[in-house]
Amino acid sequence: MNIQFGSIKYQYIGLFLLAILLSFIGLFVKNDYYLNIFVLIGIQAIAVLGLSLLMGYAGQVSLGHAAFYGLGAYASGILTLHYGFNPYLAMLCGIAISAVMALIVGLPALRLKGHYLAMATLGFGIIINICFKEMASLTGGPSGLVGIPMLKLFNFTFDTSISYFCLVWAVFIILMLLSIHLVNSPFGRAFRALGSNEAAAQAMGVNTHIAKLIVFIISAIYASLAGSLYAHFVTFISPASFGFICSIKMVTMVAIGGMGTLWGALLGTSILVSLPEFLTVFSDYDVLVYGLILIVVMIFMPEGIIQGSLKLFRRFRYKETNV
Amino acid sequence: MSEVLLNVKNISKRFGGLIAVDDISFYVRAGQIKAIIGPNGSGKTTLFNLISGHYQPTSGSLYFYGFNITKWPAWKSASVGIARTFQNLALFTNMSVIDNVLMGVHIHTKAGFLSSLFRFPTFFKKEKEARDFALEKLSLLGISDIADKKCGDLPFGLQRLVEMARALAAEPRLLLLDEPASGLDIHDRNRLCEIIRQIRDEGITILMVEHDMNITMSLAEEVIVLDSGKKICEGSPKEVQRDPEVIRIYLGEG
Amino acid sequence: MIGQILQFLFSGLTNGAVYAVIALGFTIIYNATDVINFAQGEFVMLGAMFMYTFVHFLSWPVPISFVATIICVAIIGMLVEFFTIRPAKNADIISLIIITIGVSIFLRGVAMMVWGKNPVAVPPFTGSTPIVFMGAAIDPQIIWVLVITLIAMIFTQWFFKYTIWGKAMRACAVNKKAAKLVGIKVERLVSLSFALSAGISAAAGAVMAPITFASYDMGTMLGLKGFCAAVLGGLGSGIGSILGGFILGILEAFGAGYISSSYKDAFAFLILLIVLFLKPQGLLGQGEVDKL
Repeated sequence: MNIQFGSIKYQYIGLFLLAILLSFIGLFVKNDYYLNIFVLIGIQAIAVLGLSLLMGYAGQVSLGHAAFYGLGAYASGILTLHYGFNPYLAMLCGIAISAVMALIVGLPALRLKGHYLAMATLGFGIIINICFKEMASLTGGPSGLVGIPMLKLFNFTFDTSISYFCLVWAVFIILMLLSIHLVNSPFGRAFRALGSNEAAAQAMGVNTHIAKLIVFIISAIYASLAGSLYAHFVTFISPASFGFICSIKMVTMVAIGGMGTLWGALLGTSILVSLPEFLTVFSDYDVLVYGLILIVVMIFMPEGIIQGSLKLFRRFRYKETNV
Repeated sequence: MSEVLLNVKNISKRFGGLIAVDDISFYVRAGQIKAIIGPNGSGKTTLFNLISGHYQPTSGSLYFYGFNITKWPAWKSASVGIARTFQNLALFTNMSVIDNVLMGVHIHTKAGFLSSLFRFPTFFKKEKEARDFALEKLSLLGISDIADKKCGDLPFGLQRLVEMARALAAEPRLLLLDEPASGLDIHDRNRLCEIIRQIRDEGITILMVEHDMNITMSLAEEVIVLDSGKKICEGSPKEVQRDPEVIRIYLGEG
Repeated sequence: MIGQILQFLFSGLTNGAVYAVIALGFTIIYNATDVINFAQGEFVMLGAMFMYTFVHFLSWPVPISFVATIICVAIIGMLVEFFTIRPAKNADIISLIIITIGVSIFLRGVAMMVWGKNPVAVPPFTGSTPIVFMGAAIDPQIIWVLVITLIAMIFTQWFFKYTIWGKAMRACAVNKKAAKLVGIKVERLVSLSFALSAGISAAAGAVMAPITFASYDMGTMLGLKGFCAAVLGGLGSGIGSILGGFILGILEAFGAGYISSSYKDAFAFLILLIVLFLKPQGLLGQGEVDKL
């Protein structure tokens, strides 16, 4: 868990630059295939951002976050498709459901020291995934839900790749801004303290049990929102997308990007979502290479690519001046 | 006779078959500097953890200003004015010095959740207040120049001071110091004694665990001696030094 | 009626035996390294796949194939430890968890490449005529599963109690620094723990493969359920792992039979959650789990 590098000024600048970069992509990339990849990166980045708050700041792991992602997706899907809910209301319902689930799982699990949350979320994630598969009358079973309506704002329907691109990244930027504010506030400090030394944080008046629970719930809310956005984008969802593999992918996106920084979430997601595209070159080997990359990065750059690269950079600089 | 701040009544703590603290009772009065001494393994740190709320006692009770805080968790005790430092330092090493001290300030002053999220004007006001207060505490200990350094990078002596500044920022009524002199050289130790006296003069009561006899005898008004989890002696430094039991456990028989 | 209960019982014992061995594998590695090896299930899968290759492809006799399988997968276990855990040295738990997950994905990928995506059939050891016992039809392979896994469990317990290496490993589990100080070569023991863990998992995989089909992705769910069994019994306790495995297997079989068969897989994880919330150190786990 490392220091948030740079003061908040740099964070704002970074966000501004991101917005500019995204504008360029939006303006010049006309191929829908590639735009869709960017949309998926944005959607996943929202979920992973929440997870990085949990892992990087509160020092806890969730091995079942796909459950919240899926709950958001299915809540949006089912409520809009079968019950004609307003999609934004459905999204809120999804968030409420995920928050309550996170409370139920987190309350007992976070009372214990160590990695019991990891184990509890592992079990929770798999159970929820099985429910998605088995509650067929509600969820459409293994074949999933088809024909989820698209999102509309007043008279405008988000039915093109470029419109969804703008929507998703706008949401991401807003959430990133809020996350930056949160991390650079007394609450953020309390979370960081808690991740650094729990006993000392308690000695500083932080009710660590409740703090961990709050971060866990926040991370569940981010994931649920992302899931809802996913449902309205792909309009077809099935349990296969919300299983153990998905949860693991989210964790590795946080770890590879770097657990101590919010930007790590964006970097990790970008790399791991686009990686399969580059790996299709290897066709059947892609699963293998994916695993290999995970292993290599975690062994040699356990703090993630951002911090790891900074370290390497500093080492080179020192070598140069040390004549 | 000043009022009783902390009343420790028949406190015991067992870990499975091991009795770490065995039926200990004592008072701490407001404005005192009281020390707990004893050989390694006598239960001093466990006793501290019980008082600060990091451990729950197996039996016995704890009263703070007359309030029963026996079952209180550490964060609750911290919020009513019990602060502590740790024997092996418990700084948030990944955070800067000022951020560490701010953690102490936040026990009493901090911006609200929504205000932080959306950066209302009160956020900036409260943050500035907190920051100024934190810097004040750092200046008190003479280390305001390292406010933005990362704690993990500092030498041990400075880290000790940061930890103390952090505890002071919490404006405690009772300050628990766990071996504050350990790891410090002679120069820093003298400075430490000055600081501790300064703190007591500000009205803060101090309960400390210490190995260094010189510091203990020169600072403390009352001393408690522990051995194997039991209290074997309590009194002024001179009385304790002359007690035959105390001499035996420190110097051995004959 | 009795027949049905016996059917469930045997099914539960069979699966339970496999879970017990997998849980034992987890515990051995956990005791030696504090790592929770998420790739444990893949050792089971490799056991099944190697068995298939030796028996079906190379037409080796069953006993030789069995021994060869155990040796091969044990070697793979040692290679995994050497190339992925040892270099990670002082990595924190999250990194180690991700590394073992990476290993799991990698092994699965290799298996997919070598053996393809389709399930393969491993011939049973002694034919497939069911033995009729009190109204229940018992697949003879089930007897083999129970026998082999029982042998694996007894071997493991004997190993830890009576051999010098086993005792040394127990010393490491209690206090690594002290073990090093008395001259115990911790690194070799860690390697041995992986070999042992992989070996018994492979044995379980090889013997259970004829009952169901074997495929490159059979390891994941098995590994996770074995983990649930280990937590149920108490992570770090050998007897606990065995107990946990059997209890899990039986509860799962009866739950699937009497409550709901479609939610069969969920039972293991429900039990995991219940254990974590009621008694996190498991049935036989040592020590108080620190509550804050």
